[in-house]
Amino acid sequence: MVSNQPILKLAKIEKVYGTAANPLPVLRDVNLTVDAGEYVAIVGPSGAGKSTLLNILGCLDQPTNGSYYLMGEDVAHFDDPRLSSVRNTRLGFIFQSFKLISHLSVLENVEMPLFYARKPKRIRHRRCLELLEQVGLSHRKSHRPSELSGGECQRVAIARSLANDPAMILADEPTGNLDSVTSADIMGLLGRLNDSGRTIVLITHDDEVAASVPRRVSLRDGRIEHDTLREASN
Amino acid sequence: MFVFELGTEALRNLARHKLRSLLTTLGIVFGVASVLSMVAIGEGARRAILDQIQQLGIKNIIINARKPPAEENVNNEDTSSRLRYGLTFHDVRQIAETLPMVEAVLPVHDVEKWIWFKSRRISANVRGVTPDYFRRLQIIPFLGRTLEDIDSLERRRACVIRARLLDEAKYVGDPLKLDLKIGTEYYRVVGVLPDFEFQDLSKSVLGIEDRTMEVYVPYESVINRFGLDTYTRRAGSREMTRVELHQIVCAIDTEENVVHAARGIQAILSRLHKKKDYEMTVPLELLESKQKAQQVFNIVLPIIAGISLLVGGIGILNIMLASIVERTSEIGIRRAIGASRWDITWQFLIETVTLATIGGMLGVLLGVGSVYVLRVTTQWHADLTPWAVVLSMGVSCLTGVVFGVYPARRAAAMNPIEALRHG
Repeated sequence: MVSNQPILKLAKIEKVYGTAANPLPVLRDVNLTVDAGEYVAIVGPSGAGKSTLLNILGCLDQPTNGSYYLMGEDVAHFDDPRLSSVRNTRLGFIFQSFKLISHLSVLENVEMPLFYARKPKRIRHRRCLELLEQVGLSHRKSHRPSELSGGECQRVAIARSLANDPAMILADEPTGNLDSVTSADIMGLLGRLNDSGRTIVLITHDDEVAASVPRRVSLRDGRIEHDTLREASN
Repeated sequence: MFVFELGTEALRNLARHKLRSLLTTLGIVFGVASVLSMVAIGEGARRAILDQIQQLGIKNIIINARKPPAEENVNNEDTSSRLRYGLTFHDVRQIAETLPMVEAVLPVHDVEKWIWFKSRRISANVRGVTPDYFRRLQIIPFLGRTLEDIDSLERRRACVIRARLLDEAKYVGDPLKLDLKIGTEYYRVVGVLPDFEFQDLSKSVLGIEDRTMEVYVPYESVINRFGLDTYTRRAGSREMTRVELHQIVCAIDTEENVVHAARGIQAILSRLHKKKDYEMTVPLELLESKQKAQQVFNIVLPIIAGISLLVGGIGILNIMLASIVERTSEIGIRRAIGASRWDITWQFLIETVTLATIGGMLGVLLGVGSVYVLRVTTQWHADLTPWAVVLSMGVSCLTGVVFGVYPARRAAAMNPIEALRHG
């Protein structure tokens, strides 16, 4: 998955909420480059702009100013169908509260990104079984999310995020709702994904979680304060 | 393919809340069912009446003699106690000579005599008619023949009867060997005609009468044998009535000329008859007035259908709006993993259309069922036309589209970030 081009490049990203008369800047002059295969943790206290940054990275929100290059394309001002397609094929989301659709089975949840990519049913099915195998949940494929434990739900969510073989996985506090044992389990799974070359951007306010991630970007008052790369460890 | 899968998805979603879905679509179910049965009943009644008007002959004008009210009935010209009224031979000649569009004028003379079969008395009308009468009114016997020219010319004692008469006479055996005694003379049955019954509804609408208990005899024979006068004995008094003709049927050459001819006949008769002792029936006019009445039905029915579908559609709209709020989180998730606004719009639109179409199907089933029950339990004619079924399915599907667009657009317009934060 290594290429010369960075997976993502943020240039002078600004995000301002509020009204013109009473602007409320959340992100100011954020510059960030993530190369393929990197594992980045974005940390910072609440109100630092982590979620806003993640929403922009996830193409759910657009910056007020600045450019966002995702695989060399400036997606900052894409329209809805193109942004949706970017989310669908290039990004994978993992959320704190799993965000599985409760009335669909595990398999159908994992299938959904493939459905919106208009993949035929047979291919979807085969791909999903593979993914569930990968996260160790093949035996749970016809269960409902409500019948699974928190850790299992998050593993389903990880399988779903991988469905369309995305360029980057965005994880928003993936261990926030889990106990320490399952947290370690999930972090281990993400670590293994990164080892196999997957680019991951993780957001957390938990230092312990951040400590296990090679690169650490800390955000404060909408600006990047530190960007440190930890040597060795794995 | 995508749409098809969204359809299956929609069905599953609706099946998750069976009762709710059923209640939501109930407005459409009852709307479709009631409109369908109304159409069926209307169509049935319309067809029944049209058929019967056709039977009278669309190009015919029928004039019946009518006894004038008692205080007027003393005819000044005739000083005897003989009562004279009705249509005359003179009328027939006048009509035939004056109006070129009248192809044939058929005189009918009724005989008020008892009919006997052995010792059983049968009450029936004896109508003296010309052979042309059968041709013009398209009366076809199912047994034997109708009266023919030779019967008239030779003043034969032949008669043609309605099938019901045989039942009434309790006669078994070959009807064509039956001799009926009319007054004092025997008449041989030469043909049997099917019964011709009108429904109660059309009898009241059209003002026409059944033709079941009738015996047709050659007109020349009866006038020759029985004369024109009828004596009626009552306690202490004797009454004599003279009616030349009881009915005149005028056959007009083309349909366009029927109305003109009717006016012409009206003018001739009103000149010849000082009292209104006749009554004119124009089947074509009945048909036209019936069609006018039908037009009202044609306007009212779509309005009723529209209102009921509007109510049904609003019910669906309401529940879909609530459902979207309930499923905000799902919408957020779908958007995050790559559903575009159009994908979300399609999903909810298809769900609404599916719901409405199921409602339409249930409505059709209910409508067909109630039409069937109506047909079995009542004497009503209810015709369920295929186009009504197809149309009501189509319209309920359309209702789904119309009332599904707004909730679907609203779901699609949700901000994915806020939707994700929800629940």
